[in-house]
Amino acid sequence: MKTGIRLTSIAVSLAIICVLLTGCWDYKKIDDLTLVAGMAIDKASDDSGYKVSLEAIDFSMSVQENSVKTQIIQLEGTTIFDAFNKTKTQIVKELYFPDMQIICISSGIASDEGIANIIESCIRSTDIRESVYVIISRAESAEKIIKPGEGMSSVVSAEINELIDEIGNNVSSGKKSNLYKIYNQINDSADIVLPAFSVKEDSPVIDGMALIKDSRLVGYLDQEYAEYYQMAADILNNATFSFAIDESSSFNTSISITNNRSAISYDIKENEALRLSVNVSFDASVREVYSSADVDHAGGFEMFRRECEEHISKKIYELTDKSRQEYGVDVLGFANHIYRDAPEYWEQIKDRWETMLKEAEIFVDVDINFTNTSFIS
Amino acid sequence: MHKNEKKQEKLERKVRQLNHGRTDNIKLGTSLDENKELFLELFKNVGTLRVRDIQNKHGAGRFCIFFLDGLTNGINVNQHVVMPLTESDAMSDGSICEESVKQLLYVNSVKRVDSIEEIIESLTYGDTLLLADGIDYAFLLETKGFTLRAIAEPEGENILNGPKEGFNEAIMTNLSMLHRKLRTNEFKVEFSTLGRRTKTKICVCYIDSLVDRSVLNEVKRRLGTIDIDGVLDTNYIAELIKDKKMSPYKTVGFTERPDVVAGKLLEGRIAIIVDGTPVVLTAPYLFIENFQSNEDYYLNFLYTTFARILRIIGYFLTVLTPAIYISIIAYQIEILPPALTLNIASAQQNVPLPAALEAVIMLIIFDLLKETGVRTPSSVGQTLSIVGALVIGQAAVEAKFVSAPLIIVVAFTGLTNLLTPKLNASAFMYKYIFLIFAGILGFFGVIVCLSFFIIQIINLTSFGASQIRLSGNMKLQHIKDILIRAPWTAMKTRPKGLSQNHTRMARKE
Repeated sequence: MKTGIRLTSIAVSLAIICVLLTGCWDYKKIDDLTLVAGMAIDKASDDSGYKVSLEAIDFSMSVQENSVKTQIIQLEGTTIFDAFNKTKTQIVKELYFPDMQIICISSGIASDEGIANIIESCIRSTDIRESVYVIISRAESAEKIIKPGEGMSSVVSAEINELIDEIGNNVSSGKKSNLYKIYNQINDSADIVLPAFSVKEDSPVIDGMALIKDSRLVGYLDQEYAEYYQMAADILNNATFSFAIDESSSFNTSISITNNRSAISYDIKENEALRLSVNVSFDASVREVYSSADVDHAGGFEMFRRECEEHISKKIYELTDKSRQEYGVDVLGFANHIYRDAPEYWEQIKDRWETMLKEAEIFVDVDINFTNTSFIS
Repeated sequence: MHKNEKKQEKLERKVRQLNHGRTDNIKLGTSLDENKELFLELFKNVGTLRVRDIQNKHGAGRFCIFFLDGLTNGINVNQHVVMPLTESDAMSDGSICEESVKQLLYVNSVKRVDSIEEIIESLTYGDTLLLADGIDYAFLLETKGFTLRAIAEPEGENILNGPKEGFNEAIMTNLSMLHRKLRTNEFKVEFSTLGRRTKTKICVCYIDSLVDRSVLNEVKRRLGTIDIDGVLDTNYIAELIKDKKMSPYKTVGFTERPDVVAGKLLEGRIAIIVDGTPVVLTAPYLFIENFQSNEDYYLNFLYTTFARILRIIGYFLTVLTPAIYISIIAYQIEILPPALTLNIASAQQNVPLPAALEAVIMLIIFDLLKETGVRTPSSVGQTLSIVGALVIGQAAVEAKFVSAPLIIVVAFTGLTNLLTPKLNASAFMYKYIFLIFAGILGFFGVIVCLSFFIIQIINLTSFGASQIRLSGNMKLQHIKDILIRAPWTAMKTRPKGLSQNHTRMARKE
């Protein structure tokens, strides 16, 4: 009995010490939180800071109508967190960020002041998850992306999040753009490719890829290059994609791709010129064929295969060339490859990398292995 | 007149002394009338007492029999006691001795007694007292004949397969069931009496070559220390011989099924049977027995292994689920996936109480419903379940008194609780303790509480031996009936530490 009393008193005093001394008392009422689903960042109206729009779950409406409704909370401040702090003067419950799905940055901010500041303050915040996706808005304001119109019934940010999750599987755009990855890329001063969104018929759609150099938006690659970019950047898992071999015709050929592998490499030629090569190979099965070749015969099918390979290498070349010549962006990350492969050499060339990139010879090799021709004979 | 009063006073004094347990100096005399008067005074105002004077047809012997109506088989008394005594020629010479009475009567046992205390004890248990003139002792004749509940399947321990019979309230019937299952002379049955007023018969059973002597001696020692007014159920004894009196865990097993008792005896345990209750105690008790069921051995081992693991998980879920739920939604919301956060948060909207308090109240309401259900006659039971399900479940959620996820948690806890009825007391107690810690400290509190909880379980003992055998040399044979139920072919030895004789299965040549 004596030990019982002693044990009880130890337990009770431990509990009291825990409560009183450790400050563990942070009971939160889940219903007193404003669940933020997505955040859009625009320039403030007077150009002196940010206008932050938050897509938040509107519980009072949700409960009444028995479905999830959202509302847009708009805040302005000189910095993002300055804007959040201003919620304390509004009638808004405490903001809850861990479930936030996307951060959408307007093209204006991205091209004028760059994304580095925003990414850095988000990654410092303890509430925002490092895995949240970052996208660039091509619409007139970032706010439009998360509040495109009255037509959308559910949480827009969640749908955008699902779309980005599927990148590489029949959804084509830039890479999945988690906050921490972008942060690392900015720190490595690498060029970044982010998914760009615009609004079409009251709903947000993927619209090409935003090219970011030195943390500033420099331009876009159109959606037509998205699939080729994914093949070359080794982020394609499974996809069915269509293209016109003969660009003048409107008929498309479709193939479905599995086992896509790609590798980039470089050679140093005499007179220090670079030769950059991209090797892409994948297994494919035929879905639809509109080709001048007679695919019913072995020789004809071989011709069709070559046509496909040529088309794809041409497109990959185009997108690499376009981005380096027009924007000076190294979309496939040759710089990083050279840095990892031969750091000393990189040290020598890094100051004149931009010109070297523009002058380098680019060689694209595509190898398609048709595993299933879908032909009976 | 005066003389009678004096005599009466003397008699009353004797009775008072007897009632206070001072029996040493009060003995039976040789006079039949005096003895008879003594018993009449002792059983004054006992309406069921029947007294009959009997005279042998030769006029030689005078007898008097006492028995209690309802406890005794009347026909038995008439035919096998009264008739031989009146019709016998053996007593024509008037001499009455022990041998002649024993030979004369047609009853199971005739016992010579001197002690008045013993006579009272037997008389109230259906025996017939035979007093004869001229001798200073009496005879107790076994004529028990009371009605008992029929043997039926115990309601608390339903099984699908296997023996269906259950114990009833008569110790002898219960022993007969055990004897039928254990037909060996090694099955030992030792009787004693407990309870100053109830004089309850209890019986310690074991199998001589299997039992662990030290445990047997400890059981007997602890039984010997009991001094109580009455023993109406085995739980009186169980709590009195418990290792830790305040612990919510059992240190002896309870069962109403003879097959279970036989099984435990064969593993080297000891059974304590108490007259007047169908519940039999078994000792020592291992913690894993809380999760074992006799049906485990009657059904396929794969299925019962799965069921046993479910029971073990079920117990921990019962204790932990409400606490973990509260820790998550009040402290660690971040670990929920977004869709679930959304669901819980929207369910929690406009609910007046904080979730932790709500959980405590709902658990109390559920326990209240359960307790009501147990004590309600079955005819009202249906109304109760409707009230419980509709009012507490649906209406309360719709009226925004409580949130729906919490109802699910409470219902789930209630369900898992039913998996381990043997651990009811501890599950009942600990789920509140865990919940309170979770409400104050979140997951940290749950972990602190869990540490105490597990330390306490590991420290459980039964008759001096640890209930969880965490010894260094764990062998595969030892766990074959712990977490899993291995097939019978694999269970070649008895559970570790229960018996002196380990081999259960020997190879047959």
